[in-house]
Amino acid sequence: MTAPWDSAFESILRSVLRTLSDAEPLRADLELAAAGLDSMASVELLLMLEETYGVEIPDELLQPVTFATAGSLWQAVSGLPSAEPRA
Amino acid sequence: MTASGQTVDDVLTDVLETLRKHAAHADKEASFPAHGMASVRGSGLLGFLVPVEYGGWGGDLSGLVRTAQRLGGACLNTATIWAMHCQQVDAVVRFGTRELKEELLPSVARGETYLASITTEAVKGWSFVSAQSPIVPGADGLHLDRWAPVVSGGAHADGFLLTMRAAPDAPSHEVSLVYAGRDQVSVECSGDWDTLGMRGMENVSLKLSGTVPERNLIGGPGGFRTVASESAIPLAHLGLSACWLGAARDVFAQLIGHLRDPRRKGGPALTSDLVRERLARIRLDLELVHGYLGRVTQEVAEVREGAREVRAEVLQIHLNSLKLAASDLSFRAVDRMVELAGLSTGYSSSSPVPLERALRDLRSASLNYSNDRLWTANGALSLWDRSVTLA
Repeated sequence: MTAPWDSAFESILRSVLRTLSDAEPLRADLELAAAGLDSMASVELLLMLEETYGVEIPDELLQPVTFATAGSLWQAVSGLPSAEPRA
Repeated sequence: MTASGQTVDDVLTDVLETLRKHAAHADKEASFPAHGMASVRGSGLLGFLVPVEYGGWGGDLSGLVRTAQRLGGACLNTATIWAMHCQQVDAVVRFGTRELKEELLPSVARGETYLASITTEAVKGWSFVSAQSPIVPGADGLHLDRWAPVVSGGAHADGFLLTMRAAPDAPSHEVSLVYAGRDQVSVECSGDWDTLGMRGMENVSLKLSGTVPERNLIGGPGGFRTVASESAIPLAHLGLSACWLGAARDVFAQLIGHLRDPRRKGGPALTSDLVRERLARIRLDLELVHGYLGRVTQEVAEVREGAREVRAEVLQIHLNSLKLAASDLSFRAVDRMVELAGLSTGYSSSSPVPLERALRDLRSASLNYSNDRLWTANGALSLWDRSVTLA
């Protein structure tokens, strides 16, 4: 099964999940908190996503449910207007 | 109020008198405040947060910060030890198993069990919510083998709450909190605590090993992150901020008494505008810390009771801000008192006002769970909270 997200998203997420080895696949149901995503890493993740996709993630999406899994986060980011990776 | 009908105020008078009497000795000898802690044990105050059904006071957070301030004004070492103990008790009360609570809390309430915390590890970039040494499950229970470089009162505590990696194959951020009674494990302490201030804390390095039953897990396997965010972190920041404020407030009261003493010879003239402005600036720092401490205490209490929802990141900003403000402003207030009082009253260890000791003690406040880390954390978290939700 191919990943539902683009390579930029995968690369950003892997950079903040330091316990996820390169050999392990990034699954849509991966629980981010269990993989080491704490509040500080969430802030870094937010900033990188906003920069890369040229979006502003609204406050109402800054909830645990958004950051629960790789899939839930991608769903939120990809649903934002003009969520295309910048060249 | 306890089952015996006593209130905290009833017992505090005697405790505060003992603490005041022995505070200078603990500082001078850099030794554990044994008299102060004996008085706290005897008063039942170790059980302040223990629910009434287990024989404690059933105290709440506002009572905790009020009591910590009063103790902090008498002996900052004893107050800090007490506040840290209460932090451990809160974790047991909120997250301990029924068996552990029944076994442990009545003895805490009777003053027989003083709890210390073991969270430090000798690793670069150590974090409160990570751990290297793992719990090793065995047929006879959970095997613990843990070394910690800094344990406050480790040589005197009757039991310990330790952070441990949840299992040998668990990542370092999967952390469990576990209770070990001194009689359940072997404990070796070493160290040479000789510091500028907070000399009675008698921090030691400690090696603990042994086996404890599974019921000693607090918050379940890998559950420390929740215990930390709902109990350990709020209680630490509220408790220590209250202790620091209490120390600064008490020494300010003593300074005012000294300045107004008609028998005083020399020193600042109270008619001077400069003196009055300095007094006002000191007062302002104490007012701000006191107000914010009360506000954040109320917010934490409401969140814990489920009466209010505050996003976790926002609450963390408020708690971090409290710790930053209380540590910086309490120290600044005492530093200004020293400036105002001058060399003999402000800077001498034989002064009638113990400003010199308070200055040395409060210098540690920014180092204790380093402010550097909290400033950068709060900066990052502020980016997260675009709506700027103030306390």
